[in-house]
Amino acid sequence: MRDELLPGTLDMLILKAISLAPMHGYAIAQHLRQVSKQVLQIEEGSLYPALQRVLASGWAKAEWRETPTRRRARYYTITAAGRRQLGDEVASFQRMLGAIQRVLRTQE
Amino acid sequence: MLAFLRSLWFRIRSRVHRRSLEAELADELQVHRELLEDDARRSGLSDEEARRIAAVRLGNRTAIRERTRDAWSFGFLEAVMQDARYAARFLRRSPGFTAVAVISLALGIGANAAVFTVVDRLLLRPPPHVVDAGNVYAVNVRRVYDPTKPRPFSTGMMFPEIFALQETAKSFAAVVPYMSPGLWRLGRGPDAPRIKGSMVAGDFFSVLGVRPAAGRFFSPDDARPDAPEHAAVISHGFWERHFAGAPSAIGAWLLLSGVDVTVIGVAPPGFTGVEMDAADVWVPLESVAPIRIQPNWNEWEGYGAKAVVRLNDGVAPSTADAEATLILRRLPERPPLAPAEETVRLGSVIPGRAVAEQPAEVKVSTRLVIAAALVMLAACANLANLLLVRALTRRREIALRLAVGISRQRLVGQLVLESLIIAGLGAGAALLAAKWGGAALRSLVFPQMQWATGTVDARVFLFSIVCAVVVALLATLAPAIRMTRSDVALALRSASPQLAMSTGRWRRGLLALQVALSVLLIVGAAAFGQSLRRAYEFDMGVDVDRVIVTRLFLEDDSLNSAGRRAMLDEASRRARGLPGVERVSIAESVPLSGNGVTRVSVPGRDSGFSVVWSVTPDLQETLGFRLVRGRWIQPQDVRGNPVVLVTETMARRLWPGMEAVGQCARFGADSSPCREVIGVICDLRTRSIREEAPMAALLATPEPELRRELSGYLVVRTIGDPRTLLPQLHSALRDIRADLSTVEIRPLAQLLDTDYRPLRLGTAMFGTFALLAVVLAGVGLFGILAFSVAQRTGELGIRSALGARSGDLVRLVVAEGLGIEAVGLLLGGLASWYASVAVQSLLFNTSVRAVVPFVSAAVLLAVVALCASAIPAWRASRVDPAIALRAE
Repeated sequence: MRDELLPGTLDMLILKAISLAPMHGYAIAQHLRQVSKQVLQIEEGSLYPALQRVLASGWAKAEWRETPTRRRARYYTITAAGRRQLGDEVASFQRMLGAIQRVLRTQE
Repeated sequence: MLAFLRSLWFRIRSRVHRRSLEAELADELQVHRELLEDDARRSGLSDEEARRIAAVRLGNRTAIRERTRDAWSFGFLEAVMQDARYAARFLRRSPGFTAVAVISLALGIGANAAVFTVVDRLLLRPPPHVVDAGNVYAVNVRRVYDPTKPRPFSTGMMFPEIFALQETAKSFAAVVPYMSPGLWRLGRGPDAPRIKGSMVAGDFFSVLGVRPAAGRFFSPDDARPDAPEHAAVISHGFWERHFAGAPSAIGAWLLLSGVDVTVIGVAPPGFTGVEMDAADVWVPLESVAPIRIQPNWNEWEGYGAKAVVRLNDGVAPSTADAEATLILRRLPERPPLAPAEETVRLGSVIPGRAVAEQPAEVKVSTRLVIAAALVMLAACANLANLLLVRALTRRREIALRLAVGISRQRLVGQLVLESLIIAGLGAGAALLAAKWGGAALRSLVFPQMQWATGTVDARVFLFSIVCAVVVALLATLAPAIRMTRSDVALALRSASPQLAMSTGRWRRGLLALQVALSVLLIVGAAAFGQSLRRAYEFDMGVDVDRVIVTRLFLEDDSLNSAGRRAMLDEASRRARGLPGVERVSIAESVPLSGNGVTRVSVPGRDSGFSVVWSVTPDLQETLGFRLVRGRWIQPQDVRGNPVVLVTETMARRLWPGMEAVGQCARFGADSSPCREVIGVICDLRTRSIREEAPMAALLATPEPELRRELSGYLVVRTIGDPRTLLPQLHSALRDIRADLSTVEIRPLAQLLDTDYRPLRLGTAMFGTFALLAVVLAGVGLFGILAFSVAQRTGELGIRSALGARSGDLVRLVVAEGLGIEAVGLLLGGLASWYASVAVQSLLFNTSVRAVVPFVSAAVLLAVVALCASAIPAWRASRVDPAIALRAE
């Protein structure tokens, strides 16, 4: 089954992905799919507007590089500001998630 | 903030490199797709299958590009620009609406801004160029002579009082005596121009903290009684007029009413001291007063001096009041005719907040603020009405756009933007109106005043813009929100009258409000107009409109009474030869020239004070006194028993319930003869039409008595308008003597100008504002009726089909217009009734609560209502039932 992504989380997921290693768009999509065990299915095109936002906010830098398969692709590298942003977003997301779980766990 | 700036920078860069970014994105997507296809092929799919799968996984490329662009662009700003273009197009397509809306705003705001340009200086600002004006105060004194008669505070003081404050009071950092500007002759001879000169203490400029525009201000040496030469500071305006702004003015000599002065400095532009009345030249009191006033000028003599003080830091004005009051009350030397009790109060140097009685012009101006605000309110109502009507006519368009999916926010945004554009245009037009209107108003209200700033300065500018935006937003928001909330389905079905009905009440209410505001302004204008007419018609007891009074002065005022008489005889001979002159007489003094009083008594009892004029028999006719009963003074009277003519007031007060003629009264010393009253004349005034008629008497004398120094008037009675005779009279008299310094020629009526001017001002301004309000109301009414006829086409068609004649339909429309007007008239009438107290004190012999103003308002507005209904009514009468019903 395909689950809708929680709104507002795509930027965070992208930042997380490129925080591991510089990646191009296709690699980010692959990464998200594999790591989430196919649960997170995104329309891969929608990565690009999000990537532009990340660039605009100064959280990542982009450069054209050769892939191992000898294609030229645009690699995104996280910046220091991006790491700070990622930390903030993860923290607040976890706070939210914890809160939701506590609410769901309450017994009748 | 930093993130925002960075993102903004990114967007700006993106804007510049838009082309290459697009290409880059396309490349990126292409790579992604190829990688997807590679993947698919590796899992064994055909080329075609792989391409399809890749396209599906990637999604809609156009949508991606659109959304990516959002990150590059100024999304919000671009939407706003787009909306603005849309709104501008819409406004261009309905020029009538746009014009009326913009004009409403321009009139409403322009009227306010114009008044603001005047009032700003009067009410809000201290005199220009005064440093730390918060600590500068005018000294006001209330002198009570008779505890039963309340008296106002006045700025007039005696010099010894001011010097006592200077020496003793601890509250003040400085106490500076000065005298208000008077007219001084510049140069020699009777043709020399008059300029305004003011004597001020030497530290006047330094205490106020003013800096010279050129040269310097007075030094302590300039302000010594034995200063070798008299220094003078000239105003910036005089510098430009007289010296063309040349630096060589410093050091120039001027002859001011016979006193040689040397120009040492120029005051900054617009500096007027601490009063509104601007001087052209200032000279040091200490060195010039001994010449201009008298050698012992600083002793007790009249309340002609004024004082401005600077408080010590941290001293409260009330503390200073108490100290100064105590000092004046405990003066070791009391002035002659001293008041029973003095009270000092420091007053603001901002004219509108002064403690002393304000000049009538200031009072009228403050009322104009209210009047202008009413115009603004009427303009608001008009605009709101227009927008409501417009909302109705647009509701299909708006419903359609809502149905197609525009967000309510964006739609309201668009409507607000539309009104902001109108506000911008309105503010622009208003600033033009303020520029011209303000200049006209300034010259009308304070022709003498020098203004430090142009009419439209930053404050007026800001004021207009803020007003325009607030008004436009207020007028739009309610209709806008209401409109977008309307039920889409309902609005799309065209013939739903609900909205029209529900806003109809609002529209009629707003219109009635406009009519009511017009009534207020018309009533005000009518009341001022009537006051002015009554003032013109007011009987001063002499022929004000046909008399010129003339005085002649010599360079050194050396003539004795016989010499003055000879000069006046020669003048009178020359004046008689002029065409248009009916009679000429010589008088010791004339009414309306501020006359002194003499004790009067009837035998056996002291009876108070009376104004007296000694008159020769021929002067009675020249001045045109009016005899009520008894007889005129005859030539033979002046030789026999002494006789007198008394005014009605005197007759009533001295001989209540008795016939005055035949009685006898004594004027002056007890030893003077008792004079027989031979006639009673109409009441006379000494200064103003507003004063209570004093007791006055005309003492018969064989020859004009010119006992006092400088006394003696030439009284000329003209056949026509005296003003046309002034130049000839001047040229006939100017060379009567070689040492003649001044020919002072004034029509008697001119002496009443100070009485007429505030009334003229009130009439002109209330009249103008009333006209604006009426025009606005007329336009509004026309709009409402036209719209109502358009809305009711169907109904009118049915009525017509059922046999209503066109006359009936016309009546229907006109009745609607008159109905709204009647409600407004009632409201406005009630409001004026209660608001009348605000202007009552400025009027003359007129009550606002009189019939005439209300009737004139009613008639005027009825005419306007009829005119406004004419075209809609005509349209209604032409409704063709066949067409109207088919449109349904």
